[in-house]
Amino acid sequence: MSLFVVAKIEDEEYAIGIEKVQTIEKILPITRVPQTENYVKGVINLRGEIIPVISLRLKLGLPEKEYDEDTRIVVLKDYDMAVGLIVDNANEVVEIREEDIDRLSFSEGEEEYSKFVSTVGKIKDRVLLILDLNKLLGVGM
Amino acid sequence: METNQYIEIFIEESQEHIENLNSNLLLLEKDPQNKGVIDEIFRSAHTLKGMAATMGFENMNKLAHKMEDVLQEVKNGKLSITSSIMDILFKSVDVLGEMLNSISQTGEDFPADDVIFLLSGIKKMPGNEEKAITYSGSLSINEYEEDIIREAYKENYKAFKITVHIDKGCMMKSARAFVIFNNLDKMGDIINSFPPVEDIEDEKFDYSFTLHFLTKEEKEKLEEMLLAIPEVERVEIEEINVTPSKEETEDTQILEAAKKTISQNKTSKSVRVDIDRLDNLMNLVSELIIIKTRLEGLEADNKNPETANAIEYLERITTSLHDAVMKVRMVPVERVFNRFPRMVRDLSHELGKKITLNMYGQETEVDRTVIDEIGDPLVHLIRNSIDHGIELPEERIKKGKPEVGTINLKAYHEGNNVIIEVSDDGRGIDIEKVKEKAIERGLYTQEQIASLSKDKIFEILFKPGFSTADKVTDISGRGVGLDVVKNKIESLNGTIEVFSEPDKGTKFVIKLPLTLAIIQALLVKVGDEKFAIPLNSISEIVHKKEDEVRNVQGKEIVLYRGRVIPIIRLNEILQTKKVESNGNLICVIIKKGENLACCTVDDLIGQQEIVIKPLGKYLSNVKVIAGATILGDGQVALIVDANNLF
Repeated sequence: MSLFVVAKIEDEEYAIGIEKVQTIEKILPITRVPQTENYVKGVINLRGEIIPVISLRLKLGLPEKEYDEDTRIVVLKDYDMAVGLIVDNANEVVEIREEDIDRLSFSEGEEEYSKFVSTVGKIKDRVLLILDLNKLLGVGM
Repeated sequence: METNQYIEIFIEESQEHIENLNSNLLLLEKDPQNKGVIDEIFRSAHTLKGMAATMGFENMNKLAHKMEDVLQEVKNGKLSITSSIMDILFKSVDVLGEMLNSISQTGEDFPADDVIFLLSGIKKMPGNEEKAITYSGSLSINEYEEDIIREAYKENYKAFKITVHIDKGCMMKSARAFVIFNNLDKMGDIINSFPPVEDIEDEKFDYSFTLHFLTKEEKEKLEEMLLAIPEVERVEIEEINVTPSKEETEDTQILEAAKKTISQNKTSKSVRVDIDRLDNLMNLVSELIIIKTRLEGLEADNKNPETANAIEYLERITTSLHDAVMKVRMVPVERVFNRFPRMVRDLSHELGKKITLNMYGQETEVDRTVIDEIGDPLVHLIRNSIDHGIELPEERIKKGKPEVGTINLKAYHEGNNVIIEVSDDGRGIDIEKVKEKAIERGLYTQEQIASLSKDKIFEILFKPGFSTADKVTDISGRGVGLDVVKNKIESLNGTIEVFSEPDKGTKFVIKLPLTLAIIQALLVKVGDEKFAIPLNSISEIVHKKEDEVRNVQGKEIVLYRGRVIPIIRLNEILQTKKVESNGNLICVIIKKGENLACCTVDDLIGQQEIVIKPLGKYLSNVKVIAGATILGDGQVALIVDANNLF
């Protein structure tokens, strides 16, 4: 049994292992950082700590959407690295049982998200795409 | 006992003791009679022994114990210091250091029977029989006790030999003796006694004992005092006269210097704190400063005198708090300097050179982060001085220089910087040889070299892969020399310069910022975004007209003080919105060593002290940005890395 934070992009639900989530924040002022990939939106001041934020939408190859009341920054933190993930919405924590997690079986390159998702979790008739953070951030996390 | 949690403390403390041992052994080598230093060495060895035993490191314990034994003999004057004993002691300390390394890496020490064997052999060495001057059959004064008496004479002390006879009917003679010792202690210092104090305490004496005593009191007063003690039957007191020694003045100086260092060591009380906690504290203070700035902004609108007062008070407190936290992070450069005397001693022995190392300003304080990084570059420079700089004694004599070469290591504050100088009085840098090598390595052509100034030629020394040593020695000349030093120092936002005169010597001057966490910066606007440029890389701000910009081979250049320098359009590099130009350019002239460049910005905001925060690992590959800072309103401003703009 594991706990996951549910982050929404459009109608798709992504699950992020709760042990990597430090905090979930409403959108904060973002300072742009030059010479970075397009999905890197910049850095935020999270109570005195500078944290890079990336847009999950852009990372997944989706068009950008204006930030609104529901927009959230999910701050992921491991011992020496922190990154904020901008998502459309994140207001739920779910439990997924071990036996309800399956490996994804579509072929490589079919969908942009397949690069960052290798397992899915099921809760009744909901299907959640579990984000593989190592792949998403391209570094050990 | 579960000792895992103590291992770090153990390692750190042991390291300190080993450093202490090293520096005190060096002192002892220069001044073998110095009792204070011997005591200090003995204490360190003793503590190490105890700590190793507690932690269960048997081999380390054994070695430290053996050292302690030898030192005990020295302390008691039964053994006098010779150069071979010094070598063995140094060797033992080295092995202790190696053991400690091995403990920190593998968790285990190793047997050191060979050194222990050497240590055990010391007592049997010829020429180390007791060299004592016998005063009477029972109590003698050895050389260094004699020294102490001589010292004491200068301060108007008198030395007496006192024999106390206790009443034969006394039941508890050790208790009586204790009272006598106590009373004497109040009037002066007991040098030694016969039988030794331990034996007296154990009642291992007849009804009399003899002691040597230093005091400012008169003989009569002593006698009176002693006889006033019950059960003292009879007292014999005679004054001891020692002839003053020739080297007296010199000895005093050394002794006093040693005393000074020892008393310093004793007074510093400290608490060990994890550097992460300090960083955290620093962060919190920065936060406080930011929120304070914000309050000040709010107060300007509010105009309530009560609030104004409170905020002013807050301002003062945060400033002092900030200073205090900064000070906590500062450590004296002594921590780095400490290892050099030993290094110079060993290397000069190895190379057959005679070198004195003088160190000044060890108490100069630098931020902890800088200290950790500066050690290796300094080792490099000092090795260079020993290997290339200082000549062999014969050569020095031939040149009419003193036989013993000198290396000076100096640290001092200058404004917001720390300056560290390494200088020697050696042969200096051979300009012709540098030129030759530079051509040989294909760094310059004959014609190019000829036109270079002396300073420029010295700069070649810092180029990668350059070394003037003909032979690759163990000590330096492996070609990984000064360029590494320079890189390291530049990565710390510092600079390095070299000055050299043939046969007079070479001097390296390193300039480092006091702290890496807080810097003075110029806030500018590029597009509609704010950026900070570190003040130490700015040389000037000038105004230019757009039509002064020339285009040469696709590169924009501008004339600045008679020099042609490149233009860096910050809005392009920082990918900001382009602001319509009105024909005027605001140019921030930035410098990197000798190179200048003109950065165009859209507006100047002002100078401000900023707290540097890293962008984080995820963005570590952004070259033009050195970090970020949080402005008074909570906004994040990026810090431009001027060094990477060139």
